[in-house]
Amino acid sequence: MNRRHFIKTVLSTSLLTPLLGPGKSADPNLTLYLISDHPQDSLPAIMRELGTEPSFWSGRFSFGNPHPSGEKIKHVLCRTGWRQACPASSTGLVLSFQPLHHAARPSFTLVRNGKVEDIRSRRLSRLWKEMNDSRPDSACLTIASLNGPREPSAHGRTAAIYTDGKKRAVLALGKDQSKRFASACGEVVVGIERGRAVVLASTCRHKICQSSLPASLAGERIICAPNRFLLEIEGPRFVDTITG
Amino acid sequence: MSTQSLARKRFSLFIFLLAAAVTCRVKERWQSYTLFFFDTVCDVEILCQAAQIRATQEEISRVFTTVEEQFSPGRQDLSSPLVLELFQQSRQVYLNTGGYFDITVGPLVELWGFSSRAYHVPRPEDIKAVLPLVGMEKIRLGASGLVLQSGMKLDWGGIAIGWAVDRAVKALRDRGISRGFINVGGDLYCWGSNPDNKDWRVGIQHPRQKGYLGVLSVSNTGVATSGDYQKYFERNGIRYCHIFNPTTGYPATERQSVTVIGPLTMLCDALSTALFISPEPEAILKRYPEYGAIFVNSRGEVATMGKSPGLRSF
Repeated sequence: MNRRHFIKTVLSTSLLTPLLGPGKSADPNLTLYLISDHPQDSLPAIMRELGTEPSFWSGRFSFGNPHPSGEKIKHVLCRTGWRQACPASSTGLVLSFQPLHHAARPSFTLVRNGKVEDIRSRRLSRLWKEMNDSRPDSACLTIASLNGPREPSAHGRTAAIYTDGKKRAVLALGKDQSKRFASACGEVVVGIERGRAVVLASTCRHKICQSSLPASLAGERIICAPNRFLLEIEGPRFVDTITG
Repeated sequence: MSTQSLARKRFSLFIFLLAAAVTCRVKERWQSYTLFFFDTVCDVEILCQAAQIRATQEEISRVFTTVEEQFSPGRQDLSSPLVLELFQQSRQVYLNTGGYFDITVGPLVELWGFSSRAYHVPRPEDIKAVLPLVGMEKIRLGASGLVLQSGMKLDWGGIAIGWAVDRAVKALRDRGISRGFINVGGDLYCWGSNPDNKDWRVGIQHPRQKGYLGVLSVSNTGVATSGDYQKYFERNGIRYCHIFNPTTGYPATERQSVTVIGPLTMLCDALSTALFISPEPEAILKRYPEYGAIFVNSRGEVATMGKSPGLRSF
């Protein structure tokens, strides 16, 4: 596999960093694709050259999936001020492992904000050449994703009320209030309390909507299917849709 | 006619055709709407002309109504072609997952009170008594359709919604809708690019906290999640979810959520259930090389497994 093919492949890979996507965040993000059977040997040097201070990247790292050199990587990172944490979405550095179907020359590629970084004029190029020249082929790809401080979900400003798929009202979250909405099988009473929206009462049978957690983050919803009722918090969205 | 005049006419025609093409293109707008099917919310976001909205809504409603009618509990016609088709698909997944995806868990769902929402922990002897009614190998394919043993009940919940999403997406694509997503309660398919001309960003609901576990960046892909946080009850500090291990009769407890990504939403839906239960998920994913999964185990640890789209050329 040549370098161009490798870069093309990793850039077209949509699932390589499934747990890390910063959504619409404009914060800086940097991804290191490291082909090496011993990533713990070169990772500290590369990160030092990149100036990746743990304090800027939240100081916490995690593994996206089990890594064969996980313990060794953990050891070298902890020595440089990082500490392991969970879940992955709360950490500034996430390391994932991907086996290569065909062994390749040890090397690394840096992608900053979606663009491959040119390292030819930097000290990193010497490191790259050393790796590429001196070692046997490797079948281990380590993906180290550094994501800047981000807010994966923000507090909403308003709660939109839909019945039968049509928008009926918009309630400001900043003002405590309660309102009744006629719906498919009766009515639903919505309350806004301390910036959070709740269903106070509903004429549905099982009252699942009433026991739903209060909604306050943009995109959060409370659904009452029998009443064909939907409450959705409006605000800046970081995703297009949600699974779960 | 002079050469200059002919060239001018051709240029005018080109400009006219270009303007017509641009005008047609401008008419396409991002449209989003919400429908209610399968006791949940169905979100649709598509790029289409204003005149197409109503037709797409009707098309999706037609597909979902048909699936709802055929596969809702107590309304099953065991000889209908759709039921037979989905049965064959389910049977294949049943065989490939070592029986961990099983549509015959209906008696267990009922015994634990999930169908009536009168939740309770049954006595071990009651569970033992129901287990002989579970297992797809006990269903016979007769001349007039499926033949169930007395007391058996089918629960299509783990596959029918994903199947319906695939059928609805196909119907829209056949109408020329080139970009969009359909999401029915977390079982979704997205195709083309999003309104920002990038891959679709799909947030994975965190199984224990508000907000997202992470964000997937995908296109032309189905996604489905099974979790223990959607339908469950607690007794004496133990959480009992609605996903049953068909071999033991008890709810699965080893994982908090499993998200599956792959070409068909139907298989993502069914595999997320099987992987949620199975102690050997690697063996299942080996049989589905086009699919990948994100696991959150009972301690909240995250792991990924299986195929990553885009790595085919390695």
